[in-house]
Order: sequence, then structure tokens, then C-alpha cells
Amino acid sequence: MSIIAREPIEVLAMFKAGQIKPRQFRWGMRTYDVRRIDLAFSERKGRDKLSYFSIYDGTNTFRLAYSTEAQQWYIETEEALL
Amino acid sequence: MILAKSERLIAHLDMNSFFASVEQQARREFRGRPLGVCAYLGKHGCIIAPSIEAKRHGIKIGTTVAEAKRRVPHMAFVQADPTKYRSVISRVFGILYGLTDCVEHYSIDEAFMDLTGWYKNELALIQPFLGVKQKIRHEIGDWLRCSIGIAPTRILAKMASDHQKPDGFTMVSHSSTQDFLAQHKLVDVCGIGEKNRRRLQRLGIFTILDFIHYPSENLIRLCGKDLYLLQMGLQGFECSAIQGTPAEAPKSVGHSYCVPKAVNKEGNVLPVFMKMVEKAGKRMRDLQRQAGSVSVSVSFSAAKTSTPTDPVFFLRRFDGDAASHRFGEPVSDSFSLVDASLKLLDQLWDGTREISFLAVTFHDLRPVRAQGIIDYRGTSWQTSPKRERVSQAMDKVRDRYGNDSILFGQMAKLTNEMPDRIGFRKVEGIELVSSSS
Repeated sequence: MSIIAREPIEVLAMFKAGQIKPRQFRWGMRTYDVRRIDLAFSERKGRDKLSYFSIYDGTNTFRLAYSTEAQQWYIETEEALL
Repeated sequence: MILAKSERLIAHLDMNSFFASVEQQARREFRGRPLGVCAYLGKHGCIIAPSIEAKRHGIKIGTTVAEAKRRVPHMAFVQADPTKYRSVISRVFGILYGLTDCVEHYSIDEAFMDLTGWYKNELALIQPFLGVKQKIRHEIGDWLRCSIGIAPTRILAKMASDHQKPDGFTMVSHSSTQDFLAQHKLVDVCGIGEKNRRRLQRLGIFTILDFIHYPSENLIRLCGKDLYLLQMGLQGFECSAIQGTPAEAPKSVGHSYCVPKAVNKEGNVLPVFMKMVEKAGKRMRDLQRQAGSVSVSVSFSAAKTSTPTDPVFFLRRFDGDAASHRFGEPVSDSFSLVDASLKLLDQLWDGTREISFLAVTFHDLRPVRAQGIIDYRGTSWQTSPKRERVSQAMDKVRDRYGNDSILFGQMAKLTNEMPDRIGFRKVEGIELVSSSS
């Protein structure tokens, strides 16, 4: 998958029993509630673990990423040919 | 040797249109819509995994993006995301380990399980496997579907899972084998392609039932061991055990790459080649192996020399060459591998022709032991314990900061060449994740 944009954002998330669940995020002066996590997956880059979340806010799908090393959340845009 | 009918309970799980279903799971706008997962998104890119909806429109693996767009204008395309697929299948396999410890990761989206001893008979497996389907939907993604086949042998289990797609569940017992096979064509059997079909036709074998009733002695004499083992499997005799993980160590490790024109134009062939060697070398060292020999192969794309009136106009002709080198003693350090590979490439390529394909493979893998001083035939350089220590230190940096954190100087100008790719039969990189995570 080619990521064409990546931007740091603020996310309200729950860390419980080794799982991360984003609940709300702020992007571009707007706050989005996470209705559903459609897919969660992770990858290791060296010692950093990146957790990815495909989330649905009731209207749109977003892709969030969390870096355990940087302790930073990002919003990513994937390339597609529609 | 007298074989007895298999009393085993073998299950085969196949994720339906796996890559495309994972993309549809991740992005709702693709659900219910024809979708093609491609290696590249350019018009020459081809579809490596069509969605269930795309298959209904006749789109197959290998269809180009341009062709698919022409046939199905509302079709969407995404570039493959190997990380996503590996991560999802790890969780699926994690669920399977809840049923048995004997799970063979057959490919990126398939697994065989030997459930003998865990369940009384095939009927006792209905509930657990319906539970597997439900767990996949609940814990991983509600758009993901799988087909499951249960039978006394691997080949029958695979045919059973292929029997009903998507989202199927098929059981084949010894008593129902003939009825089940009668519903299929010869080419439905995994291992009988068009070439074998013609070969069998010459022996008067037209159906699967003809095949399983054909005298085994004649079959092994005329067609060889592979078709004989296939016949045994279809008759209900299991000759190969399910290989539970960890799988046996690979016999070779390598990396290949279709070199884009841009890499040639920018003069980046050597840095890309070094990156390939480094990637393969790191994987080999991670497996705790050393290489006894290395081989390099190259394909060249011929320039267009013909005119529009020539029938071969626009036809790109390919030619290539390969070379190999046997090390005096097995090696694993980056420097020895890169040096030897570069020297082989130097023999094959004069630096002017456009390269379309590159491959490097390390063979004769052996467990790691202390590396001695090795003379490279015809050269003055020697490997040394110092090289090995530096290489180990580089690997530690990579383990800590990622694979691109430390590079050979020539590789510094590379940007996004050689992205991660996924092979269907490649199951390395799949970590097991417990079903609850």
C-alpha cells in the first residue's frame, strides 16, 4: 500500500489488556468519534511497533497509526485508483 | 509397503479472495464493489488478487489494470499492502492453533490442520470450525470469509474447501469420496494442469474416477511419482504428514526484482542490487544460516530497433544470463555477500544495457558457525572475523532502528525503490498472534 500523506494528530484512546482502541480524534479543527474499528493490524520497524487502525466514524473511513517508540498518533492517506 | 486408508482428520482452510477482502474490510467504500489488488497501480500493473465481486465480472489474477478498467469501468484498484495481509493471517492462524497444535502454514492465505486425536470423528468438527468462522468475523473482520474442507487426506481436504466458495464448509468421508469426486473435473485437482490432463487423456483417463481406478503400477511407470501420490491421496491414502510449525529451514534464500526503467535511467542499478543482496543476506542471518554459494541472474530488455512496418514492432525481446560462485567456506557477513554478488554481476553486465530483471540467491545454506578467513578466487580481498563482527553490529542497528537505518554509501541515494512485496507461497514474516489480541 502506498501512503501518500501522513500527519501527526491528537487521539483519545483506550489502552487495555495489551490492546489499543482509539475512541476519538481531532483532525483539521474537527473532532471525529470512532464508531467502529474495522481492521487493526501492526508491524515492527526495528524495535518500534506501529499499530494501524482502519476506523469508521459513521460516514467515512480513516486510517490511524500509532508508534510505540515515538508515542505519537498519525493519520494516513492511502493511494487508490477509483 | 502396504498402505492403509487414512484414518486422519485433515482440515484445509482457505481465506476467500484474501488480499481484496482485507482491503474491503479496511475500507468500507470498496465493499460490495469490484476491487483489484495490484502490485503496481500503473496501467501496466496487473491484478494479483481480485475481489469476489470482480471475479463475478470475469476478472482473473494477471489481468492488467488497463484491461480490467476497460471491462469493468466502475472497478477500483489498490496497491498491495503485505504488512496488512501478514498481520491479518497471523491472527487467523492464531485462531486455528486453538483447535490443534499441528497447523501447516501452506501459503499466505491457506493452512492445513491435522486434527487426528483431538476430535472423535468429522462430525465432531462441525461446531469448532463454525466457531472458527465466527471468530474470524468477530475478532478480525466481519467482511472476511473462509472456506473449510475436512477429509481424510490433504488433497481431498483441499478439494473440499475449493468445492464451495465463498464461505463454504464441506466434509468428505471415505464413504462419500467417490460421489464427491464424481462432481469434479480432472483439472479441478490441485496438481493436474492442462499438461497433465493431456498426458492422462492419452492413457484413456478422462475423469477423476478414471484416474483413481487406473492401475497404480502403470501410473507410476508412465507418469511418475507425483501423479501416483496424487492418486493415492484421492483414493484416501495419506502419504505426507501435515508439517506443523516451525517449518524446516529453507534450502536457499534470495531476492528478485523487476527493475523499472527509471532505475536504469537514474543509474541506480548497482545500489538497488546491493539493497537486494543486503535484504536477502539479513533474512539469511536471521535464520541463523550461512551461504555455501551465491548465484546472480540478470535479464536485459532489448531496445526497440524495428520500424512500425516490422511485425515485431513494439515487441520487447528479453534475454539474460546467470552466474554463480561457490565460497571456499560458508559465509554470512554483508561484505562478503555483497562483494561476491557484485563481482558476479560485473561478469554478466557491462554497465550499458538496460536491465529488466535482477535476482540474487544464496544456496547451500548451513547453520552458522564461526567464519574463518576465506580467499575469494582471483581477488586479493579476504573475509575476516572483523567483517563478521561489523556485519553483526550492522544487523543489531537494523533490528533496533529498522532495515533502512544503516546502508552502504552507494545505497544512500535510493528513495522508494524495491517496496515490500508478497508471495503467495511465502509464509515467512508471519508471527503468531493469539486469538484474543
